[in-house]
Amino acid sequence: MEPVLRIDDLCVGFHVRDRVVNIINHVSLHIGENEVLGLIGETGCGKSVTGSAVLRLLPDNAVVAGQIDYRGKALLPMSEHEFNRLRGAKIVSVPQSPSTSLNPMMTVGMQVEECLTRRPDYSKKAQQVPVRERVQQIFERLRLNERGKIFRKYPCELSGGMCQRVLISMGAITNADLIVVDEPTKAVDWILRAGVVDVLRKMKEDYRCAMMMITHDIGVARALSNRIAVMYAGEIVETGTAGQVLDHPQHPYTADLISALPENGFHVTEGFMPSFEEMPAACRYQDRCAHCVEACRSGKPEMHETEPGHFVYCHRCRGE
Amino acid sequence: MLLELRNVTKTYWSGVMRNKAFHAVKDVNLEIGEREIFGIIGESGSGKTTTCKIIMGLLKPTSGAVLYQGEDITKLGKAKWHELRKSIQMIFQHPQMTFNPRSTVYSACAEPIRIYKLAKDADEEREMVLGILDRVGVSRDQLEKYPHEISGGQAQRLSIARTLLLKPSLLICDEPTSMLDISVQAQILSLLKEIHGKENLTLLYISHNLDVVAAICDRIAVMKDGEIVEMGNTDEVFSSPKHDYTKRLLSARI
Amino acid sequence: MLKYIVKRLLVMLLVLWAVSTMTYFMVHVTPGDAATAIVFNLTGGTNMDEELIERINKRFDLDKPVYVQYFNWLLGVFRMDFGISYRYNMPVMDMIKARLPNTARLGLTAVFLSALIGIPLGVLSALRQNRLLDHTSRVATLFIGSVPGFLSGLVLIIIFSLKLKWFPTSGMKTAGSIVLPAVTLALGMVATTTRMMRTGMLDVLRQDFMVVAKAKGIRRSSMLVSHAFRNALPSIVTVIGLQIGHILGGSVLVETIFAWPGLGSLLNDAVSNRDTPMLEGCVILITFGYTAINLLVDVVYAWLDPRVKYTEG
Repeated sequence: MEPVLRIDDLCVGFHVRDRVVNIINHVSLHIGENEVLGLIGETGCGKSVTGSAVLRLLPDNAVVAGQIDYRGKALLPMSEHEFNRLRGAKIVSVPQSPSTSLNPMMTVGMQVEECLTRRPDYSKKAQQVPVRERVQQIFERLRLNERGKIFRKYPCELSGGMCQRVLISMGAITNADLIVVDEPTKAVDWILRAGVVDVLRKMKEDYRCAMMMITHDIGVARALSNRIAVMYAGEIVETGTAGQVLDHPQHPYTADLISALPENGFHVTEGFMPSFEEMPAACRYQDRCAHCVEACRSGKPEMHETEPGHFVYCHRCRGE
Repeated sequence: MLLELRNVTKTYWSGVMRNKAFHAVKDVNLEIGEREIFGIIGESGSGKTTTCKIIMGLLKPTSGAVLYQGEDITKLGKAKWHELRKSIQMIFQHPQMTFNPRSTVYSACAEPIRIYKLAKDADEEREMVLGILDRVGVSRDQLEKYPHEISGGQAQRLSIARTLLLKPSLLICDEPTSMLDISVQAQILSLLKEIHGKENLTLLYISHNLDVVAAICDRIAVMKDGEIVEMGNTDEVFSSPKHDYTKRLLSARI
Repeated sequence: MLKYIVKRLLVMLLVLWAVSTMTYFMVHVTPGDAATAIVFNLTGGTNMDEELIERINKRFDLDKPVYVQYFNWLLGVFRMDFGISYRYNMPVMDMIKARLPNTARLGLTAVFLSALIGIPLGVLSALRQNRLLDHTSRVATLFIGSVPGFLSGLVLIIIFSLKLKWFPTSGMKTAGSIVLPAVTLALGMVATTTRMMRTGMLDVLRQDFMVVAKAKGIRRSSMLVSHAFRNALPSIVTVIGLQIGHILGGSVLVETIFAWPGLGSLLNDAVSNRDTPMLEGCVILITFGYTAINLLVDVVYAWLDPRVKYTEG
């Protein structure tokens, strides 16, 4: 069956001063129907850039190569006009940072309504249910209380949690196939974090959509993802089901990441992720990896399938 | 007992007639022993930051006493507080914001040395700064950088370095890792645990993250709406919570 | 919202009182005896009769102590009675009433012209930042705005009145009389309007929610109007409000050049003739206008930007 999203050999770089700095390096992944793919990794590893590449929201100085297919259709060569029919309708985004992602001078109801009404392909007559009614239904579903009154409120009148749910409403109202969720629990309180996970889980069940869940919160990834892809320094190092990757990590970086969790004893891995301008050749984790061997410095790690559906890019796994 | 809070209350008045009372902190009682790692869990608005500010002497409580090594520090004058500051230090949630954006990293670290005249001359000062940087694991090439040029993790290490120069007895940590990734969080938690062991420090760790608190705190207090609703050994509180709010917090573990 | 307006109104009253009191005492403390000045005006300095000065003193209560005069004056202000002009020997209020509409017409026309050019130009400059249009408009408006009012006024008169004979050189007789003075005033303001609009737009365009709007796939026109321009409005409203306030007192120069019978030239007259009641009346009115406009701007701003009410209100 055709995956909803297929990314093949994606490379993204940015023009900085007089050169191009490469960030995303030959990244390949896919998301199937109704599947949630958790894209995890540290801040700065390139996860958000990947999400922006799918939504074609990268800044003007970006250089993109490779292929991104939505249900078999290549997205990158599409004209802006043609892609705009997909973006915001079939491929939507739930951005991070509710405080800055919402227009402070527009009512939240309007901001959700315009996801439908202000699109070039909107036709009032074609609506089976009036848009306003649809917005109210979603607000109710996502437990944004005071159903009628929330529509007219401004973001400054709502709590952080409610703003987050407004953002999620914007993703839900269009009945999209693919939702790119960017760091939904960043800088969010403990109880609110559980609330956001609940809401996202509900959305996944109600709307049966595929999701790319970009997060650095492993707990959230575990709770919501069917499959997980681990990213380090612009490259995918491991993919598999959530259970496979988080319970039996094969890549040293994934293992180190999981052991750094406070409940696992907050083990420290020395060193820092190298800067994109000075990336080592061959394996990018070589300077921090406890299992580094000669091969890691000379050749790019290849992909190995350690168990069905579990893929690792590491020299160590050769022969396993 | 290193630190004792007795019936500490902080009330704010608002409204046209100044008749609406808001209790940021309500009748808080707690005791922290020497070399303990004491945690306070609470969401934003629970009063944990106000409590920290009261302990630091940045706010005066409306009523109640704060006893540090037996002495009520809420009644101290400016001169005494100047000396006391060396003893009670704090690190914050947004480390980069606690540095003067117009000073280099070096100046920021040298500042406590200069204020308290801990060094005889510029050479000794430099030695002290380099020494503390090595201690916390910040490389020397960061010295001439500005706060916006360093990462969150490094900024937090520098905050810790800055406080260590004064050899404090009590270090208050207000959500120091909320803004950090797991790996950087692990580095900071390890560093805190290490200095707790080596420097004879007492830590007061504020957080809303139960996993972190469970990992490093010996005893904890749960705060809600300005009050402490539950207090005790970390393991006991987490395995058999008594208050509804504590239960709610624990059920929000995903 | 109501609380917000009431608070602002109270401040406005306070400002009015403070400015008028300050002006009153400054004028009364400056050297020169008012009665003497009046007689000087009346008689041309030829007959400085002691008795005449005495009669004038009594007529205008100038022999009473200052604080009594002030108190009487303050009472008059409440009744909108500013006394009699020394120079014209007519009620101040009547004279002001005659001239105020002219100044208002001129000022508002000028602001309208400045906004008509400045707002679109600012928006386009922001959208085409650092391209040819942007650089050209910035340099051009800066140059034009730097030319002093009297110079641009005179140049306009030379070209459009004398050479092309499209508009009259001065006065308020024809419908077209307002064009040249309004344009002169507008030229001085258009640089600020354009620049503030450009800055306001640029600020908004780089915000996160603009990217989110693009991600939602909404029409570009909606993005620019409902999000970008709408959010940049508060800043330009403030600027335009200030400009209107400024015009009320600042058009003296233009009114003089074009012999436009307005409040500014009235005030100018009053100062040189030591016509104290007229002076005070004009100052109060201009202050009132300025603070009223500021209040209006504040209220409009709070209406446009909901965050204001919640942080200040």
